[in-house]
Formats: sequence, structure tokens, C-alpha cells
Amino acid sequence: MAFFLTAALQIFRGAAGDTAIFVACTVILLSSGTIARNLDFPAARFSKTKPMLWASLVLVILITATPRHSSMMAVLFFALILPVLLLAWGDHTEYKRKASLRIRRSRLIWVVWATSLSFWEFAANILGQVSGERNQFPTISVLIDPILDGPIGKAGFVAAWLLVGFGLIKVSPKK
Amino acid sequence: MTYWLFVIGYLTLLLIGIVIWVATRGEDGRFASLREVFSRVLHYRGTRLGLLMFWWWIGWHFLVTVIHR
Repeated sequence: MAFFLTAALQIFRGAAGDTAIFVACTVILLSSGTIARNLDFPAARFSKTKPMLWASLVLVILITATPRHSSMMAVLFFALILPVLLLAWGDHTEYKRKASLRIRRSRLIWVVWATSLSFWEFAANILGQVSGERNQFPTISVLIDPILDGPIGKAGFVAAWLLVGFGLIKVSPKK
Repeated sequence: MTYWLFVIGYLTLLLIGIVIWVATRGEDGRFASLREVFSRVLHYRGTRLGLLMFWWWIGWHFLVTVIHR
């Protein structure tokens, strides 16, 4: 649902590239639970810590050395999407038992927090477009983008971004 | 005026996020830590795919796409 809503927002923004990405993501998500549900990929053997650390290091160097908004950067990201999808895919077995009360409490708090942030971002985006004064309604992208113009800002962003991706894969179940 | 209203809103939400993260650390409180929550929700293929595709898009958005300021 979140991807579908974001795809709708991208259409409203008139961002053709982002619309295509979010529509593709929505289709992949829908397929993963329906027609491709029983299609499994043994991600465990590919998500070992040492090769993942080496891959992250190579990516930090490559992405930091590649100019932003260049064709080479686009090629790097297109090359990255397949391994990311395969690592995320795993198998289709899921928990049968209900989450503990501790988990449910925290999950609710984080969902409320993420929804509030998304609401604020969507509001800035929509109000900026409707009023025609985008500078008066800054989105997170508009605020962060200037920091990435410098080499230190860009390197910091790349390191933090890869660390989050690495963390997501490491916390994911080994199956 | 509205510029600062939105900036303060983002900073407030960031601060709230940090407070929740710090307050829920540890494995024996009434609330599960962020790591425990992720460890649980990432058991579902849909969540794994959703979060990792969104993570990929964040990188794409800031490093490949030109953002109109």
C-alpha cells in the first residue's frame, strides 16, 4: 500500500522515472505474495558477513568516486538492484506464532513515527506543488541535497546509506 | 515562515525518533529494541523486499536523480 501511494505521489509530481520505479516495486511486491510466492532463492549462502563487508567496501569506493547524476552512477545502481532483490527474496516460510507484546508495542510506536514523517513529507510535497512555491514547503530531499554537493557530505551519505543496507541484510533471517 | 515550520517539524520528528530509539534500547524492557523489531518484521518476504527496495531508491534518488531545489 505504501509503495502504491508513493507511486501515486510520483505521478502527481510528474516524475516519470520515480513513477516507473515505484510501479515496478509495487508489481514485485504483489507478485512475491501471489504468483511467485513459491519461488524461493537461497539467500543465506550469499549473505555471509565477510563477502558482504568486502562488497560494501568496494561499493563505498566506487560510488564515492563516481560523479553524482552521471550515467556511470545510473549503471552502478542498475547493477545493484538484482543482488538486492535476490538477497531480500529468500524463501516464503514465515512466522506462524504471534509477535510478543514487547514487539507489538514497539512496532506500533515506529509505525506511528514513520507515518507521521511520511505525512509531513507528503504535505510539503503537495503544498509546494499546489502553491507553486516549492521553496516555502521544503521536502527532506530539498534539505539534504545541498549537503551532498561536497565530497565529505557525499562520502558520509554513501557510508551511512550502505551501513543501513548492510544492517538490513544482516538482521534479515538466514534462510 | 512556512519554510521554518516544515524544518522545525522535520527536526522534531528526528528528535522524537532518536528519543524512541534510545528509550527502547536493551532487551529486557517493556518495549522491544529497534533491532528486535527489524529482526521480527524482516521474517516476512514482503517487508524485506519493501524495505530493501526503498533503501535502494533512497540511494538512487540522491545520487542518480537531479533534485529540483
